[in-house]
Amino acid sequence: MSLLDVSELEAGYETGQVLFGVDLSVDENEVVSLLGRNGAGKTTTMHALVGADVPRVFGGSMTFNGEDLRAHRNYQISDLGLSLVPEGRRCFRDLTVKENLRLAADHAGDPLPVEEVLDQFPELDDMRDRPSKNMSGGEQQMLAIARSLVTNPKLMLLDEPCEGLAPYIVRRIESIIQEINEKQDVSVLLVEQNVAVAVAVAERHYILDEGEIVEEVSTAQLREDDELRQEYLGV
Amino acid sequence: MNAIPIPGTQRSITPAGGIVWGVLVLLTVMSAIVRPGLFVDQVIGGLVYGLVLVLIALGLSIVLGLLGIVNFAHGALFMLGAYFTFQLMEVWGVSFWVALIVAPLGVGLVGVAIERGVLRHLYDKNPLNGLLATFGIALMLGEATRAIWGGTPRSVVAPQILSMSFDLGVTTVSRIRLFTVAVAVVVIAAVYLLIERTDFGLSVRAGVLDREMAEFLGVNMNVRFISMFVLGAAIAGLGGVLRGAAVGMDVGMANQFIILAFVVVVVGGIGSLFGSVVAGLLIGGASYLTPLYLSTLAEVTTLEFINIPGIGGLVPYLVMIVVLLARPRGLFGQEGFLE
Repeated sequence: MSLLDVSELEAGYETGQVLFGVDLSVDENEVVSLLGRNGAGKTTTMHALVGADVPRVFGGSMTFNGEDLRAHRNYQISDLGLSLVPEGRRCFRDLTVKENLRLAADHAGDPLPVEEVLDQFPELDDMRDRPSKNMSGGEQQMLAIARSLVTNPKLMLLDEPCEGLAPYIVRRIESIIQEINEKQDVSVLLVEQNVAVAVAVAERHYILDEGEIVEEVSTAQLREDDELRQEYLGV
Repeated sequence: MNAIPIPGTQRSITPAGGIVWGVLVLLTVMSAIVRPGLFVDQVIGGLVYGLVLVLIALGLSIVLGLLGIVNFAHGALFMLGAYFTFQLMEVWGVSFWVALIVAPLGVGLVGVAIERGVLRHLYDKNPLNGLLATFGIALMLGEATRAIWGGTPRSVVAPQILSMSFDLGVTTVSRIRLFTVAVAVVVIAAVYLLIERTDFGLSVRAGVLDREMAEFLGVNMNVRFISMFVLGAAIAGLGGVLRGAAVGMDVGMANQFIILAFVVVVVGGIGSLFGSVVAGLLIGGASYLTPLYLSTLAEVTTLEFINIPGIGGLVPYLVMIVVLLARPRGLFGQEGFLE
């Protein structure tokens, strides 16, 4: 059994159904990407997993580490070892770097020490007491990842972590993802529009189109199959 | 590390601002010299009034920031604090000191009923729903109060130790007013410490900024919603106890104070507790000192028309207009909260 098993997931909003039977799985210590165009349902899938206010889940099953995710409230998900780094980072803007991390540590069942996590992010070191709103996008992204890491997750859901970041920061985020996967045994499910990032860090890739998984490919296949990328990803 | 700009420090004082400050200082000195007794009276009166407003505005501000609900019933909770005191002291014969604790707890219980019964169904809905629902609750509590305790003003007999006065030389000040100041300052300091210095407060601040993200990190926000709502209700109730003991109570106090508390929240800046405290003191002080300044000015210049009767009641709204024209977010408000 995989760490995360999603089958026949159907979900949507008041305005209409978005996911029409999504099947995917993530194994322990695996980095998997979920690719697709804008509106394909990537973020909807992420939000369904963590029990966000929207979308509503209509059907299917989501099992994480043997637990039924649909039976848990959104504030219970992180205790199971599943943690979301959301699109747009969502750092608490008026809270300092340390407060953002302390909050995560306060409410996690088995948190990693804040200082230990900060050591992994030297960029954040001299901004500990700075409100997160005064930081650059790349720094905020690192804070969002650090905040998730403090909860000591088994699986980290990363929703477009490289969106709007300069290329050299994208490289840094890629190396952070590899580091937490290899050294801290955190599995990663990565949502990306940027295929290059997915190719750099993930071993396996799901391609989501119009609310369904249409392909599951290896990194080599994704790299070589120009037609596939053209058809579903527009690159 | 770059210095973080602190709001208000970048701007130097303009000539016009300098003139305004100069005139205010001059009026203060003149009033203090011409009528020292009245001046001290008004300063203390403004302080007491302002602090009672702060006690109401704190809960209002918390509920608005955290729950996104404009709680129109908050003034009724303040009023209930006063009437519960009347019930406890004058009907059941309990001492003031017991009422000081029990009445706010009772108001907190009413707060639980309101939150569980009505408001929790309205989170994340159109804010107008919350406004209408709480307006309805305010009307119901007002009429219930009239039915139970009657429409005529009521008062309680404050304990001996608080009904005496201090002699300040130029004037005397009743102890109940000083007691009000002391209790309000302690409560405000306690709320500040709770919000800024505890883990609970950190989770509440995070919830104000992004409720769902806080939940993703494992914070059970519902528990915080109800705790903060009840805390806000109990503090408003405490304000009612103090006001009721000092000047008595009537059914109209709910509406009178809720409007002023809204003014305080808006002037202070929505989402800023510190702003509410500053705005409450500003409005309390301005309401009491403006009439004195104008009458002093009228006396000195012999221009009698400057001494406008009843100007004190207008001052909060004038302050609000001026502040909002200069800073639409309020003195310490978040950019973009209501802009």
